[in-house]
Amino acid sequence: MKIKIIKLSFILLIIFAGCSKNLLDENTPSLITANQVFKNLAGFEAALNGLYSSWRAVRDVDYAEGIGVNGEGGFVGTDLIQGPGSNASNFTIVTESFGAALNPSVPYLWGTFNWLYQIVNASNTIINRAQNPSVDWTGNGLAADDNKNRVIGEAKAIRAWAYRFLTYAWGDVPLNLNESNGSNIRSDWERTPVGQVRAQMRSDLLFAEQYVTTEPSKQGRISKGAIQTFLAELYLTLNKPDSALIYANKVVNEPAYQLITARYGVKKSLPGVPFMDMFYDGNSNREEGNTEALWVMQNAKGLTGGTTGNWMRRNIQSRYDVFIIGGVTPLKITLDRGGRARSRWGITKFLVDLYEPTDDRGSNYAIRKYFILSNAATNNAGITGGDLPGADDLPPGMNYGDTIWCRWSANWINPDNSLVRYRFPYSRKYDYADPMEVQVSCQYNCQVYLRAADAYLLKAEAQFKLGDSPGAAATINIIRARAHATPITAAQVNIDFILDERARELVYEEDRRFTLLRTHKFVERTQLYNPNGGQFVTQRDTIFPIPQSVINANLTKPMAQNPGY
Amino acid sequence: MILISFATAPFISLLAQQQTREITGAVTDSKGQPIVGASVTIPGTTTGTNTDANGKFRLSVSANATTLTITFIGMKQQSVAIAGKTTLSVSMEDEAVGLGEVVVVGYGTQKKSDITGTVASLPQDKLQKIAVSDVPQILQGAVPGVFINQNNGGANPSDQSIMIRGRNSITASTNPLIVVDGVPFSGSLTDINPNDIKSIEVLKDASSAAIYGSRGSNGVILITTKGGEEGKTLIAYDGFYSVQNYTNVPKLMNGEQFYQAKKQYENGTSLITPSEIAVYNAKSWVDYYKLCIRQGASQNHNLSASGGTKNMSYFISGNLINTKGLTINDNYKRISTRINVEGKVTPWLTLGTRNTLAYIDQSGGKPTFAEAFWMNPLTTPYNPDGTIAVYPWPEDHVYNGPLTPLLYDDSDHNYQVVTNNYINVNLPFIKGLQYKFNTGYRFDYYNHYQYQGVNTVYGIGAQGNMFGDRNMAYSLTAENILSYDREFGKHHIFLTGLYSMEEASTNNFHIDAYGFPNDILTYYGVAQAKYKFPSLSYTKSDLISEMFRANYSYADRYLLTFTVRKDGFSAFGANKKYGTFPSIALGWNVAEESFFPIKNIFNTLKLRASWGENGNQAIAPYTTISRLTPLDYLAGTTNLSGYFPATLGEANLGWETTASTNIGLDFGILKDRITGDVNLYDANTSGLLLARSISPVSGFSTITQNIGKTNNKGLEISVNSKNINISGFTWTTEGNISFVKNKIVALYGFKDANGKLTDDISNHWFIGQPIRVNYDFVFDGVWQTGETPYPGYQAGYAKLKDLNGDGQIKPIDDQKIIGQQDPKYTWGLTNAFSFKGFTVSVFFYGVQGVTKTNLFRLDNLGKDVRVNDVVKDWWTPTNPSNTMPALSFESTRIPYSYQVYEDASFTRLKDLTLSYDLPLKWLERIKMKRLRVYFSGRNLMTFTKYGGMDPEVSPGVYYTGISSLNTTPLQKEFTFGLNIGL
Repeated sequence: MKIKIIKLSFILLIIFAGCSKNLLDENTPSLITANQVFKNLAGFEAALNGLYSSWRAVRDVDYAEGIGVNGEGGFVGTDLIQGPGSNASNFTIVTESFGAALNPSVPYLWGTFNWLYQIVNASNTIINRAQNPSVDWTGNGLAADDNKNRVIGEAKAIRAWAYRFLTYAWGDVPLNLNESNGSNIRSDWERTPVGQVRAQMRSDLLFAEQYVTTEPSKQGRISKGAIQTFLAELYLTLNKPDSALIYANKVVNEPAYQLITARYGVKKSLPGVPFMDMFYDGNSNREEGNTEALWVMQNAKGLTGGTTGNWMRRNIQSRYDVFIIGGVTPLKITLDRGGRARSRWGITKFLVDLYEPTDDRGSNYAIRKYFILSNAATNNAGITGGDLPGADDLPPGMNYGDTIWCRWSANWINPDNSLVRYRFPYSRKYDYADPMEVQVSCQYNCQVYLRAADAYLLKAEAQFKLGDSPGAAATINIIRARAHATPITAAQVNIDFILDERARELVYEEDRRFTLLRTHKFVERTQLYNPNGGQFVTQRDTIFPIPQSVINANLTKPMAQNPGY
Repeated sequence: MILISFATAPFISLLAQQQTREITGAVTDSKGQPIVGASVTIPGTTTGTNTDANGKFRLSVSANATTLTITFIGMKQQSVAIAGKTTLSVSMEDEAVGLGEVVVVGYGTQKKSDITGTVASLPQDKLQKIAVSDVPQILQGAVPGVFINQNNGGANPSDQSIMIRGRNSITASTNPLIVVDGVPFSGSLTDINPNDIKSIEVLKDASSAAIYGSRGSNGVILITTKGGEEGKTLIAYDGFYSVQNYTNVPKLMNGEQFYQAKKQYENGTSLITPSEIAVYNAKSWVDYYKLCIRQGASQNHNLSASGGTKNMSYFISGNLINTKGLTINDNYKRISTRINVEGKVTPWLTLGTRNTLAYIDQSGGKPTFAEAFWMNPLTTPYNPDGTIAVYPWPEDHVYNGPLTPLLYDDSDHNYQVVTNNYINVNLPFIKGLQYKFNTGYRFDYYNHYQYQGVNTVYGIGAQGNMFGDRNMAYSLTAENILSYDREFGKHHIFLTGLYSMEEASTNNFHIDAYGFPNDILTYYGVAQAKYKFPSLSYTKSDLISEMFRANYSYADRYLLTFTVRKDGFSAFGANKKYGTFPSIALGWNVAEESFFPIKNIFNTLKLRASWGENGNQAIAPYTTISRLTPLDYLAGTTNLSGYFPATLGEANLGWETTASTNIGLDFGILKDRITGDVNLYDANTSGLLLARSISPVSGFSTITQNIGKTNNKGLEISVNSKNINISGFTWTTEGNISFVKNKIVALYGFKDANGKLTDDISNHWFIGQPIRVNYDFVFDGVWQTGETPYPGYQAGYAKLKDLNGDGQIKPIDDQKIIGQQDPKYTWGLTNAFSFKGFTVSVFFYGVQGVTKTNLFRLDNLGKDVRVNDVVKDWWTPTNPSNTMPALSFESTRIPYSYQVYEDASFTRLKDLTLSYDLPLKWLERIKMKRLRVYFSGRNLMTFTKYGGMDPEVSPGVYYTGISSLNTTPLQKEFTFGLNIGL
């Protein structure tokens, strides 16, 4: 018996010994750590992809943070775009009344602030880790240094883009240039003077401009032209129109960047205007013939990384499918009408009236002003899945082929009858419907984020500021000619005209709020042209309150709030 | 062992005056061993005697006596019919009350009288007599200091949170460690069949929980399953059938009220669509609750067989639970079996195995309470052909039909295997030395597939949509336990040593797919789907532990326990893998002392004191490592895989440590007629595993660090009393109450200009305040016409209190703490009345000092009133309501949103049971050991001031932009049950 016990004890001893102490070392086969990523060019490219993917949230609904579209702060509550429409997000509601409604607790503010600093940190990580001498930069058949500098350049360009948003929105913001880790957590951030932040942006953009190529390193990434456009804008902000002119000219004079002046692409054979071709699904990329594009946001259905939830059309379009005429809701949601609308934001009557009749940019292809009542065959055309919309419901006395006009004889005033609101004209730059799912909220088309026309208009602004009104008029006329608008004379050029032209050309593309802030016209023009909140705008509103959560988290050093909040 | 003696001498003279007869008998325990000193009495008289050293008795009784009552400490009272009998043989059953009992304490057992820590045993009654299917419901209100909250109603009972002795951690888990048959249990408490449980012990203080070291700080629940007993085979059936209804269904607006609300919205400017007008005119509106809710029904059947021979014992059981929940298709079915076998292979070697197989089926798409809540009543749930409408509201496809989940093809299955095998070796060369090798393995396989066809809202657009989840998890335990238990005269030494290893791992495969060619194959057609998004994930953690415990007692009076445990856990930082947790405890059985003056009152009086340190390791693996998350981009239609910083790691992360002191008192009064205990404790937790907020300027909003301190002070009292025991009528009361005061002592150590520690306002953590508080603006009515509102407000908007009196509303300035979210005290009270086999038992449960938000005091009806809500007294210029602001999108959220808080204290009649035990003489005739029938009702009445849905469940949240309470109320339940023993 004793022998048995000894045998048993021996077996158990082996089991004991099996419990080795390196059991406690963690392996992370299914997780990614920075050390695994930042080893070679492929890893850095992947980090850049992550950065671009996050940037895409500028037009996303991003419910991860429980907030609405991150980019709306650049659009809504300006002379061109008003809110709220229907069930608007928290920032759009704020723009209805400003005043006490714009306060440090508005969720949109902290959501956007957090997101932008996530981009800053991700860029910092790439920029700082690229300095590690052991990184293997070989690849693409290029010299190691070319790869390295281009990667750093793209990361610096995106960092500058994030600080552009941060400085326009909040003024002085903490300048963070380090990769965050567990040991450098700070609770004593200070707000860096905006001039210093912009100096860093300039330095980042100048570096990027050297190494980022005219054609983006990959489809959907930033191009040299986009960086030059941001430089031109930055120099205008810094009141250096001469430098702005240099960089705007670099874009304007680059043969690879050509304005679209003729019909092309997917809808070439259908009625339309050249200006709108850039906005159709299948046409937006440089690879698809859009020579004007400088930076194109990539989206696709059904692919990992295909979208993070782009809802631009949903926000912008009026809810044409619910307005009532003669007791019926006539219009169905169709592919041709560009999918399902939500009326979250709306353009102002001021914008609708800015276009002369010949201007392509104000035609029904660009700004929806009427609908044609259609039969089932027309409405069902092109739809490959889901419920077919079928024929429109005819209001009493109307027939298929008849026109239903939108109404804009007066601006809608909130609170207003929703029926008036839903029948107001809207921009069609983001029309998109999925043939498989015509009612879907999300959209999956690539979208132009920045195009050469912006550089032309920045050039005109620089020329005007330098006293060259004839030059400015000539530059503006290039843009106007493409849209079949009447040429202007040097005498007509002033800052308001330039802003009007930017409105006609770039509504829902440029961050209108930032443009108005740059030209010191935000308060004046928003008060004048936006009757749904503009009347409450004051000088205080040119800068957002620092989010309360940011102030609260800065535990060891009080962070100053912006004046008036 | 305590003996009760009856002074028999005074009775003799009385007896002589009556006509008497003599009865003899033998009293044995369940193993057939004689019981010495049991008291044998004739109820309602003073006639009685005690059993002798052989368990025998002889008693003269009056000729007309019919019943004999036998009582003995630690055993259930027995009543035996004596009419026409002269000899009796009585077998007594164990009763888990009293200090003579043996209690499981982790890595061994101890006599209750020897225990120095605070160990609460669940009264066996609760286990045997309450007709519920899960352990948490049994524990709720039964053990002081154990707070169980049912977070959500529904057929699956598992959405519960358990907290022992208050909240120590600010952000780490407060779940106690669950140990089943010695093996830490990674599943849910609801996975355990209550019928298989022999005993439940709760280790509450540092000393008793310290043997579980790094995981002891939230307390430990020890569950022991049944084994067989040598002797006769016992076959038992326990089953019940119950029907259920909701305790409280919110009274939603009907079509008429909804229509009027739309009219009222923002001064009558909202859009009413033609289809809504049509439904309104036809008065054909529906109550979506009625469509989604049914009467629930549940059945629970349990069959078991147990028994044993001299060298082998077994317990085998099978259990079926089938619950049809209150929401249509909310079904929960569980089948489980248990096989426990122990064999004595040689006199020194025992082998044992304890195994469970379980299968849980929750298949079926179910309408959610939330969707039924929010659906516009002016819509049409069915198509003209009777099928379920995908879009009940043709003009507004955002709101899909709440009934469409019924059309899903949903397969939701869970399979669990638990096997626990052990070897006991009584080492023969040293007396009292025992070695145990204990292993546990639990495997959990979860498979959930759902297909949404083109007749459903998610399927129609996606052309068939599916997701699939396949999760495999295992946990593995291997323990070597060496113990030495021996008495030397009056000295008793009990030493335990442990070396153990545990491992837990999960492996998950998930797939999303859409774009199916047709609905024929449902999810099995995934290969043909156009778009597929698979993902795979994996985690693993390891724990290596050593533990030593020494128990020493002298003359059963002076008790000492010392323990120390060292744990190494893989999820902690490289330099903080190991933690050591010591504890010490003293006990003194005062009533055993010869000088103790009031032995006639106190038969038991024990004082206990303990101090110790416990840990909390409740963090996920890989928390210490900075990580990136996949975040992909595209070039055209080419995927570009990308990574983005996601988690900030802290390489120095280690244990959260709780040092606590406990002073306790156990008592038994008047021969254990009143028993109970009182405990006072003070627990200080430091180095919290705190997911603290950091400035978003870093690119992150939180990091988990060992930072901060909390304190819990508490008082727990439990009393069990046999109030009346006359003429076969008994009245017993079991009551307990526990108070806990919890506060944050320190956070990050930052001080303000006055040297005062600073709060973390963004997380609502305040020094000196309870961990979970409500911090908000104070709702103070509605701005009325004619009043001058603060800037940003207008008539009809919510009026928030201007706390600092500066004439405007601002965060912090006008925000304050509004009550705490964890209760200040909880109590449970059970009264049982028995007479001639009939028992009525009434259990009340109370939770006091909780403040919760009441979502019915807010609005979230969407622009144009697109979603439903309860009827409210909305403000209008002509209805100057002061409780509910005007119906508009802004009135309750501009400029600042707020919540309305209410006292959510409640008292609930949790359980009312009427049972009848058939008398022994009838049972003998039908050759049964036991037959009990009962009716019971649960959650029958609730007393509360809370105006929200249910004070016990979570108050819920409103979904962003959509009005919906995401919680389901509890159910009211009526049960009929049967217990049969053969």
